Order: sequence, then structure tokens, then C-alpha cells
Amino acid sequence: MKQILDWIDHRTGYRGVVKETLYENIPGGSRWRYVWGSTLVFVFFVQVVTGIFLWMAYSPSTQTAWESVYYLQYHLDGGWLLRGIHHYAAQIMMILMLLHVLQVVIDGAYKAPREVNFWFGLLLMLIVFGLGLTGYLLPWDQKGYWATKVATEIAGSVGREVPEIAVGGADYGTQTLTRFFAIHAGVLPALLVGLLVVHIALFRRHGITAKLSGRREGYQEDFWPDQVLKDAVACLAVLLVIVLLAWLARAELGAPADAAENYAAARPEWYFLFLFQFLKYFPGEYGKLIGAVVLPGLLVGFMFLMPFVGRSRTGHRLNVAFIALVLIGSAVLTLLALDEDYYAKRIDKSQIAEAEKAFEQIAIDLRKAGEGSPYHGKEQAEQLAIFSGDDQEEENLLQEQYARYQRYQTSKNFIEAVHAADVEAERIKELAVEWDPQAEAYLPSIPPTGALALLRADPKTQGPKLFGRYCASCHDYSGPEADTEFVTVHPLAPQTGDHVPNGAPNLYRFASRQWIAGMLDPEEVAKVHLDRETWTVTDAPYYGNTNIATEDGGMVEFVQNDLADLDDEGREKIEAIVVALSADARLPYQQTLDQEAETAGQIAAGREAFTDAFDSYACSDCHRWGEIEDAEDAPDLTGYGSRDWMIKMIADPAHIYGEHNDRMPAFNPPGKPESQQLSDEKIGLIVDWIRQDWRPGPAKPQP
Amino acid sequence: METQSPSSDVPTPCCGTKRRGILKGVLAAAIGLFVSVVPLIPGLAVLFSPLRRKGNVGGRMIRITTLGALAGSTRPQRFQVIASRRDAWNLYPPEPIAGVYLAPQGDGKPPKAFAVTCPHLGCAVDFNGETEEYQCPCHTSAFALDGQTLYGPSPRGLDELAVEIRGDEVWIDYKRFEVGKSQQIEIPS
Repeated sequence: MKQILDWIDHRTGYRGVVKETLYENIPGGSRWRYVWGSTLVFVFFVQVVTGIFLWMAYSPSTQTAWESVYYLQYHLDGGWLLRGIHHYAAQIMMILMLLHVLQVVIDGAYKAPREVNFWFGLLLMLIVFGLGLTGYLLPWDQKGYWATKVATEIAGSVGREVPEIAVGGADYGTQTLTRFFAIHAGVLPALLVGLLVVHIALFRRHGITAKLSGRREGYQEDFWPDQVLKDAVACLAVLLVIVLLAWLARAELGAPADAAENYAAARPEWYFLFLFQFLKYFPGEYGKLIGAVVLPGLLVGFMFLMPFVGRSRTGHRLNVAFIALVLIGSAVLTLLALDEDYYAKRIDKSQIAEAEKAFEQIAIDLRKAGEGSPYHGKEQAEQLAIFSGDDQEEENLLQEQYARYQRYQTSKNFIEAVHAADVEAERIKELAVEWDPQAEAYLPSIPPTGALALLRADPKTQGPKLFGRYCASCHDYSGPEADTEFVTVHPLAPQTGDHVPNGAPNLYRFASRQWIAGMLDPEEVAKVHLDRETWTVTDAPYYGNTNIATEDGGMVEFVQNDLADLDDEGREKIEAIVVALSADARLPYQQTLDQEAETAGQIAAGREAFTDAFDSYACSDCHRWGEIEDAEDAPDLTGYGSRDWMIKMIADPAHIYGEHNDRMPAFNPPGKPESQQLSDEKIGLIVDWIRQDWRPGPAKPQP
Repeated sequence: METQSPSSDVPTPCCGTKRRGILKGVLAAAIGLFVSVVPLIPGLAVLFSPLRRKGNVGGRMIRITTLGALAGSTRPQRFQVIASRRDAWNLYPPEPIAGVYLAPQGDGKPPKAFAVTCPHLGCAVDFNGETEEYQCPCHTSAFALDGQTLYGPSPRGLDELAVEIRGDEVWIDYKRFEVGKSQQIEIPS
């Protein structure tokens, strides 16, 4: 054995290297406070190891980046842990780096002859920041996409060329990912390794900046084994923290990046939050340049000068004060950023109650007086001033609350955006898998066009967005089990308080049995409540807030006259018609009920009742319905509430309602592409959402 | 952690100190090894996850062509196997995923189907109409019309796939086999 080792040593000189490495002299002996540098090297090692494995799974392009991370996270064994460790180690590295820098400055370890090594340390710090920034984009989820976009826009304040080079063009795309990936996994780590080698070599050359207090003079130890053991234990502790974090709080993967969908929840990683907050105080064209480039640049620039500033005792104190100030400032800014985002969660609502009440009153006055209202066309702050009149005290109170009210609203929007983002992130996980009968398992089945295509074609998430944009100004969508509710405030006429119909039916569970039954209920069909307190129309689920309610000889009149005071037989007939008509909609959530009705002959009974006169008329006297083609004056009920029927209704309501149509616009009138507001696909998404006809998530495994 | 007591600063390698030093050394090495190995574990799990994936054997029935397309020909013809395919996270709509030779047998008999994959090392074989044999372009294995090895390094003949005639359509039971083996061993997919 010894001969072999001698042979190797003769040719490599390894014994000298080992000796030099392990038997470095530590004046004063080993100490726990010397472990920080080693833990940093260790975390970097962890990042290299996990990074290389991540590299084997990652595919940088706009159609595959998110998808490959998704596949890693949810379908490869241990992928979530691998990604989690890399994710949290990056954050732990920031903390350790902070401690390391802090210690170096406080101990004055930058002083001669260690100036150059201190500069190498600062360069390493900048590289680590760069790694954090570039890595955040790579999963190509909404969060990383929008946050990194801000960062490159900041770089744009130096000159348009900078982001164009970084991004690989004017817009974010595959070239952005290939570039960021090469920088993140190639350029920066290589630079880091190079600088780190010099950093450690210089550190070895100068030796440790010993802290001798409490130690006997002249006492010294070797690096091995005491300090190595301390370093190893510290690394173990760091590793445990990382693994624990990765295990307990899995690394997040948002919905795939979508340039067309605003993402109000975009924030940088927490260690950049201070900068994010800082930028809020620098408005204007040059604000971002000053806030994000010049001032941080000066700050780092000053750090490079620390070895010279710190030559004197006062200078050293100045350095320590400076770093303390920067740290405290950053901490305060970070807390402010968090507080602004989560303000709505902690605020006691009584602190804005007066302002909220005032705005309610102002809104009522605006409805009542319309353009005649003193608040008309005024900014909110001004409205409050008018509201409080001459009462200076009240105005002060209101303005004070208004400041909080604004923060509250901003924060509420942020929290809602985070929630919406979480919902989409969950939904895309459901959409990304399909049942494979051969494998008898849910397997990832993303089309080659990418996961975003799945999300964009998903009625469950896209339906409410489109409904909110195109339908909700007239139609409500609200009910006991609705996951998204839309309720619009419809005002009474200004000045007079007359009821001017300006709403449309509530489409929650449209064409279901309950919905049709309500529509055929004399009490419900034109129900409307005029609330003169708030100057609004409320509680008009069907035609109550439309012109159809007052149509002569129309449906509403029929329901209110002929269907009132029904005998038992009449009620049975109505029930049968409701069941049969609703079955025509083929609603997925009513499928079982419809099948039962079909078997029980209820649907045939309903069709018969359709042609049977109530008081004076039968339904078939006005309506066509399938083969019942006696009349064609009123809407054709064939396939009422079905997907096709609803698409036709939205595309061109006159096609179904003829002259009975109130104010429902044609969103895609056939043969008139110039007046198209919604494409067939988008109308389909709205319809499928109202019909609750979307792909269910993977069934939970049976226990 | 305990630091060495000041009294031990005179380097008298007494047995106790030395033993404690060795213990610390062993402990340091063990912890060092442990923390270096742990980050590798999830990475290796990811790396080896294809091995843990159990696929299904048994092939799948795929329509290749119609009998009409083979009529009047005695020579084997190459067709594309068109099927949907999974690749990591993707499910592709049906597209060509492989090739197959259909060799007409005449007399109203169904054609025979041979996988184009050479059983030697997986190159795609060509049918040479002049010599009436399947030839592998890589290592010059050659196979007869019935798939038997004529010469060359291939350990077995061309892989024959089961053919089913459904009405006028030719369907095959598409399977893949490990190359380089003298026996047919199906690859699960």
C-alpha cells in the first residue's frame, strides 16, 4: 500500500497538497465563527450537483421550458425534491452570503493585505445575484416571466440594446430562454468557479482573520481535524435546513407564462424585494435608472472602496455603519414591500369604514343625480372633500382613511391575483394529464404546442375571464355553488328613480331544471326589486330588468296570467315541460337526472304537455320545438340551452329571438366579420363555462 | 462542539488527545461524506426514473393500409406505421412512428409483416428488388423474403409482426423487440 501511495505521490505530489490543505495553521484555534465561508462553498457545490441533474431534465424553449419543469416536478421520481433543493439552496446561499459579507466587514477582514481578496468576494456576490436573477426565469411560469421582464426593462433604462441582447430580440421568447439558460448554467458558474479558486487561494495565502479574544496567546491549531469538523457540522445543519424546506414547502410552479395575460401577482424573489420596493419611490423616465442602476451601483462601488476607507479606525467604523445602514434599509424596504402586498390581511376594517361608507353614499348620489351630481367626473380624493362639505374635521378623517383605503384596495387586488394564479397553476396540472387505458394511469399528455394551449382552451379558467369582460355588464352569474360570481349594480334612472330596464337574466345554471322552473314561475319571471335607498335594481333573476317584462302579449304576460293559479294537473304539466325542455340542453351536471327522466317517460310526457293548452294557449302555439313545428313567432326552443343553441344565441341572438330580442348584441353575426367581437372559440369557452362543461380533473384514486 | 482546552497547547501527543483527534477526524470525514452524497440522491432518482417506469407489453393494433394497395404486387412494400406517441410530457397526435414491410403472399393469403428494424443493432433495412433480399445498410446483414437471416452478423431473422385483415384493411400488431439477442424479447412501451 505504502509503495503504491509513494508511487502516486512521486508523480503527483498529492501529499504536499493534502498537507497544505488540511494542516493550515489557525491562530487561536478552531472557532464556529469561521464556518461561513465553508458553508457557502458547500451550498455552491449543492447547486452544481443538483443543477447538473436539473440540466438533464430541462428543455429551454417557449413550448418546452415550463413543460419540462412540470414533467420533472410531477412525473420523474424525486424530481420535486431535486428542484426543491436547488430552489431553496439558492435562497439559503443569499443568506449565508449576507452573513459572510457582514462578518468580513465587521472583522475588518478587508484590510491590507486582503484588499484584493475582498474585491474577489464582491465580484462573487454579484455573480450569485446574477444566478438568482437568471434562474428565476427558467421555469417559464407566470411569476418568473413577469418578474424577470421587469428586471430586463430596468436594464433597458441604460439603453435599449442591453435588454435586446439579453432577451435575444425585442420580445421574450425561446432565444431569451436559451440565453438565460446558458448564462445561468454555463457562463456564471464558470466565472464563479474561477473567481472562487482565486478567492480561496488568496484566503489561504493570507490566512484566517483570527479572532484571538478569549484565547491564550500563541495557542494554535491545525485546520484538521477540529475546524474541519466544525465546518462539516455547519454544512450538515445547512443541508438539513435546505432539505427540510424542500420537503415541507414544495417549490412552486405557476401557470405557464402568457404574455397576453396580465399577472398582477408578479414579484421578484424575496431577496430582491427591497429593490422592487425601492423603485416605487423613483418615478419618471429616469427614476428606474436612478433607483435600480445608479444608486445600487454607487452602493456596490462604495463597497469596493471599503479597504481604503477602512484604513483608519474611524474609516472602519464608517464601513461598519454603512453596511449596517444598507442592511437595515433593505430589511425595512423588504418589510414595507410585504406589508403593502398583504396590508388587506392585517388591516382592521374599521380603519377605513368611514371612507367606505362615504364612497357608498357618493355612489348612490351619482346614481340618483347622474351628471347633475357634484361628484360627477371628480377624482376620489376630491369627492371626499365635497362629501365632507365644510366639516374640516371629517375631511381630515376621510382623507386619512382614504390613504389606507387605497392601500387596502391595492393589496386586495394583489391577494386576489395571487389566488387566481394559484387556481390556474392547480388547473393546468389537471389539464396536463390524460387517462391512458393501456398504462391504466394518468400520463402527461401535453400537446406539442405546449401547455399554454391547454389553458387557453379551458372553459373552467377562461370562461369567467371572458364572461367578466363581455357579459357581466348586463348578466349576473351568481348562485349558491358558483366558484366565480358576477353581480353588477344596475341603477335606477337618475333624477326620477324610474325603473329603466338595464340588466339581463342571471345565467348561473342557465337552462337547468331550477332555472327553467323559475322562469315559468309567475312570481319569479319578472321579479324585480327597486331599492330606492341605494337607487338600484336588485333581485331580477329572469326578465325583470329587461324590456321583455313589459312586452304586450309576450312570454312574461303569458307566465303571469296563464300559469298563475294552476290546479294540480297544470302544475304537473309545467313540471313535465320543465324536465323535458331542460333535458334538451344536455347539461353535463344534469345527465343522470335526464336519463332517469327519459326512462321514466317524463320527457315524452313533457313534449305532450307542450302542445296542451293551459288557460288559453299551449307552448306550441308560439314556440317551435323539435318536430313540433306549429308556430314560428317566438324563439325556436329546439335544443334550448344546448351548446349549439347557446353559441347561436351569443353569435346572433336575432337568429333565435327575432324581433323579441331586447338588447343582447350579436357577438359574431354570420356573414359580417367586421362586426365580430368574439370568435367562435371564445364564444364556445363562455358557453362551456356556463354549462359547466369542462374536463374534470383526474379522479382521485379509490380508497 | 468542544474546543481543545488551553492546557493542551503544549504539543505533547498524549494518548487521550491523539485518540480524540482521530475520533474528530473520522467524524469530520463521515459528515463530510454524508453531506456530499445527499444532494446526489434526488438527482440519481431522477436519472434512473426511466428504469422504474413499467411499460406494457402486448403491442397495439394499428391500421397500415388496404388490401387494394397491395393488390397485383408480389414484392414487399414499405409502409409507415402511423400512431400517436408519447414523448416525456408530450402526447403527439398520430404521425409516422416507424416503418413496416408488408410482403404479399398471393392466393388470397394475408401478407406477412416485418419490422424494418434490423435485429442486429437497430438500423433500418431496405428491400433490394434485384437480389430479392432485405439488406441492412449498416453491417451488411441480409434477410430472405421470409425474414430468415441469409448472411451477416444479425443474431436472428427479421421480426415478424402479426397481421390481421379487418374487412379490406390490413392491421398489424405493432411491437418492438430488443436488438442483438437471438430470441425475441419485447420492449415494453
